Amino acid sequence: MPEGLAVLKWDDELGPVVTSKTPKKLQVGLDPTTAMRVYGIATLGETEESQKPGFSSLAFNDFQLAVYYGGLKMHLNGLPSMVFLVLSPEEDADAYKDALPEIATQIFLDADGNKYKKKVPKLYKQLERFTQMTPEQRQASILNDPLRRTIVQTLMRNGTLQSTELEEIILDKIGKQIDVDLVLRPLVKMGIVATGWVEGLASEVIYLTRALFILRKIPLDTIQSIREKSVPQEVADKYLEASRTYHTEYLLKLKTDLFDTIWGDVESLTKFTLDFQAYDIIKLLRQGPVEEEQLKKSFDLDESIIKKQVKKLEKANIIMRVKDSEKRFHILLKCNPELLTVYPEWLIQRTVEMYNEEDIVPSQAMHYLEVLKRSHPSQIEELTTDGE
Amino acid sequence: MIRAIHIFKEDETVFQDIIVPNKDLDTPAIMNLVSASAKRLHEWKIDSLEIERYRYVYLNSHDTQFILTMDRQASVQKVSEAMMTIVSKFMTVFENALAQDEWRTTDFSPFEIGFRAVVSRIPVKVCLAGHGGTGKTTLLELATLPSKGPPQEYVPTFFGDKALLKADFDPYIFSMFDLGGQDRFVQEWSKIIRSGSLVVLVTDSTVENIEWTKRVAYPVLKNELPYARVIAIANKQDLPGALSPEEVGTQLGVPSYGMQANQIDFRNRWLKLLKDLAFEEIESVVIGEIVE
Repeated sequence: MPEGLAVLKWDDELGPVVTSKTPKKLQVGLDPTTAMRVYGIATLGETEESQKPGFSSLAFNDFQLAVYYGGLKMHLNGLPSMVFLVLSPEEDADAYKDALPEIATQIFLDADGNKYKKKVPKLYKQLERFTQMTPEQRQASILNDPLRRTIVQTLMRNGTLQSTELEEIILDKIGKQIDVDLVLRPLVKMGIVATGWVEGLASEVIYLTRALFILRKIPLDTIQSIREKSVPQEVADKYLEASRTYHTEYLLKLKTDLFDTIWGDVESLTKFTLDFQAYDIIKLLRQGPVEEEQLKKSFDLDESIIKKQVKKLEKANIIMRVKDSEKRFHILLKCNPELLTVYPEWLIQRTVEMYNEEDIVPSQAMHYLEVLKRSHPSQIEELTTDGE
Repeated sequence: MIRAIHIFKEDETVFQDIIVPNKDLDTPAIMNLVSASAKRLHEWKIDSLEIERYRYVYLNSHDTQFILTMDRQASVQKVSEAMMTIVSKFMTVFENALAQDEWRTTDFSPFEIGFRAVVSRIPVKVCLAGHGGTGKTTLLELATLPSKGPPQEYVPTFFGDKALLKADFDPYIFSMFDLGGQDRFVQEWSKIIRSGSLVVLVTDSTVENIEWTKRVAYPVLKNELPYARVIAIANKQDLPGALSPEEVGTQLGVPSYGMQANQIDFRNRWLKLLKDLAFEEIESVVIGEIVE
């Protein structure tokens, strides 16, 4: 765990000034000489106009720094600013390469009236969680972020966007300009979008290569476990009936309105996936039903916290609490919130239609179809076989 | 760096405090011009006027005109904020006197303390510029870390360094910036030196070093800080073959002063030079007017 987090803002008279830090007692890495080096390494080689955001790390004798520079668009009150983590010499600074820009951006976006200062301790706590996230949680964090969710939704409809259009979406959603690369980076890293240049277009083009969404899936492992008599018969009967009714209705909703059903509860489903306590309960229940008393013993948490989480998950139709004849409660997964990435086959037809209706620049459409061809599962399989 | 304040009402001087006098221009004539412009401003609106290396920041409140004289190169935003503070402080005490005819007989001189307190909150930015190994870091530490003693070994400065210097400079405190002197860092100077009021060129007292300063440092400084005042330090005077400070000054086109920065005995001389530079009590030039 880092020793602390600090925000550094350039001041023309004073040089780099630490405007906020957590914990309050943090001293290491905050001296003026180090602050100048941080500013130097973050902006080295950049002119006043070019200033690109970026992550860098600096090693000193007794500590390390992981630094994120906000670039030209992310100045705090008009002045160059950076957020940095103070780390012990043994820590891997690169482990914060994804998390620090996210935290820093939230700080930069709250620059007005110095509101960010209050957020710093809370964001610092979130940072540790960021680095502990599973791949599934990383995907959930994309859908939980309203801006990235909008981008995924837009791309799932039309397949491709020019970066100038994306800038408009960002401005509309956030009210400020954020670096497009920063917003797209996790999506590119997960193979959900690709970017490229098309001859004749002035801005970069963004393509969807895999669709990302979250579904309430039937918990097959739970059902299998029930069949293997892991719970008393009366519990199994009650569960199966309720589960059948729930999933029949859910499937019907998917058939009638796919878009609204998928996106309608994405926020709450991703919220539970990102809440470590709730997520741990879901992960345990994915393996099969658990008795309530056993559940309480499975986690190093207060009983009241577990009770609260169970109640919330039950209310969100993710789990069920069923009483047996001996008045013991069994907790079962009612639906499995599962993040899925799929090849966006429907976008082949959609792109052709947009091309025919001249809703898209022809070269952009051609390029996207080429991207879709290259990212088709059959092509990837072929490549893998060739590689082998 | 705020140099002076003038407060006028009905064309009469209510209060003035001149920390560093303007020796170049006809101050009464400029004050007439600026106060006439200030009278036309809406209440609490701030405007400014630049003449040569000076900037006049002015505001009109309660039919009273407040004019701050500052170095043109310093941060106008900070001085504008200081203006609001100064006027608020002044009005808190003297608003009633100004509202009636009492102001003609009121003694405003106690306001000097309040004014100077605000002035001291904006550090005077001093930039130490020169080639690597000429003694900029040594001078920085000689001034700011007297107990440590000046460093005797050369460790190249990465990008730059900075330190605050509080000494016998009242009401000013200095914000000292040591600019990394390796060639790769000179192009980075523009990020550091903005709003610098004072520049100290640090050079070895050798022809090669002077040539480097003229060829590499001058273009950056002339571009970024044309209105800042500059002196040169002809360092390492103890080395055999060292050019005299006068010779260094002639070749640089900048008044130069001899120094041995690695000797603690030179600390007082160094502090005195800094003070005299700020208060304009030694010869200096404006960077944009350097004649090579």
